[in-house]
Amino acid sequence: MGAQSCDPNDAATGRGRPGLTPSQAKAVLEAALFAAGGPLAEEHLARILHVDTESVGPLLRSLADDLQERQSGLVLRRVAGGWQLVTRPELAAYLAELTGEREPAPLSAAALETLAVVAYRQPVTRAEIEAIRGVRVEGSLNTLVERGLVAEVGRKEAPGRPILYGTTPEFLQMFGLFSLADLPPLGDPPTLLDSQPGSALHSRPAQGENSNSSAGTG
Amino acid sequence: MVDLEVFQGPMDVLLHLVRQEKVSVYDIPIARLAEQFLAYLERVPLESFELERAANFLVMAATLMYLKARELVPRPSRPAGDGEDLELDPALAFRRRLAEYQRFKDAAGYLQDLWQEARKYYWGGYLDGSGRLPDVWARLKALAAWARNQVENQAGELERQGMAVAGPVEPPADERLPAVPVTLLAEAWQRCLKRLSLRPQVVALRPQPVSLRRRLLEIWRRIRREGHVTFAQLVEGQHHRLQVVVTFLALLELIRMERVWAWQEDSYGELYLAARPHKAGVGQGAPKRGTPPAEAGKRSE
Repeated sequence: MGAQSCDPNDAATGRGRPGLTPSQAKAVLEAALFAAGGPLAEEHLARILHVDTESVGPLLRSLADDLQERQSGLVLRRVAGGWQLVTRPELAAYLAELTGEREPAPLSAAALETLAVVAYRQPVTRAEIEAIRGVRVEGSLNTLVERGLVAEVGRKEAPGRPILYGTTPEFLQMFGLFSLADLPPLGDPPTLLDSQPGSALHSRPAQGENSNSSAGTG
Repeated sequence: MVDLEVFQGPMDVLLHLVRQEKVSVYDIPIARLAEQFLAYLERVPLESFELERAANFLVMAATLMYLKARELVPRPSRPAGDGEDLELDPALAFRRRLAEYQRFKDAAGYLQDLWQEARKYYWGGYLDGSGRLPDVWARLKALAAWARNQVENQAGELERQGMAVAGPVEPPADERLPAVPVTLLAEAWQRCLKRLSLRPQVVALRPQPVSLRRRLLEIWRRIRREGHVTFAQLVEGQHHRLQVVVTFLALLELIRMERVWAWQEDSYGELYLAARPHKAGVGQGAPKRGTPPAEAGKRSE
């Protein structure tokens, strides 16, 4: 590779690259994405091409169209803050034969619940997750950390300086998300206003509202 | 119908009960919820749960009974619409907690769907993990550093127990890790740990033979050379229990054969040892100076 990049006649690998045609540039992008395996940010791809970040987007979209047009087994997807060359989802059944037992194990219901709390509430401490789920989460949290979906992102400025957890770029990739903003919106909390009038606050014999004593004990 | 294994804890059971009543968490009467929850507890083999899990359910039962009891006690009324007061009503706080849990349970469902969909995409290096994201590699490196540390600690522990570890544990000069999925790495590490923890047992079952005869001669020569030594000096550098035992046995033998004096200045104090001057005609007779006790050979292995 090093030797090739010294060759001024090689348009695809030469430095400076003002002379790259769009199709050559797309070939470079395709090659880079293939070699990377993981997602590459537009800024990164722009550095590879020595062009502005703004001009990479149109090239990528054009490359995506090309792949579609030639009915390639690969598609471009936007994931984890970048672009990734991945197999066409319709071909998954064929690839299962290839991956066999190396397919990642599905997450348990407990792990998914813990992951949901981390994803929507990050950064979050273990105690905060436990307060929401009402059970100990150490085991499922460890599983998520081991699988690289959740990581320690800092310490909370609170007594004991508890560890704060957050999701990783790996989480975005494994769940096919470009960013956390792409998470489906968390359902609105059901509120008193949503409930049928009367029942919640008046489940006790209606004799008025809550009292000072309830404030004291609560 | 109520299978315990599918529930993620008491909150999950409560949501199930609320759904069965076809009302929202804000609408179900606490008394009804408490009653249903207790009925549920009667159907599950709580005593077969691990303690902490059972405790979770019992705490929830107690919480519900408290909330129910609280509702039955009349309290002085206050003007309605006092928002601050609503915040502090424990029953309402409890309903909010349930509602909040419901949101995240739903969110876990979204994630499950996303996962199912995302499983259809494969990328270069998917199989061997090399397509993983850089920060995963950073974590893998941290894991490897931690693992090395553990191995070194284990090696140190084995050495303290008088067992040599085959070769020093050197961190690889090249920090780059081979491309393996983290799960495989974790499995390999578990196997590694298992092997390490087995090693001391294996050694304990087949201890290195320590010759009583050789030790006896060593001690005898040393005492004659140095005039007197302490027991502590004799066992210095001997980390294995068996070595210390053999040293002590050899010493007892030497004392029995009247070759060595042993004395203490106080109980549990240091044990001093000195060569005993030979008295002709006493005991088994005087050996020649410097010759080891004749009997030693017969008695030792």
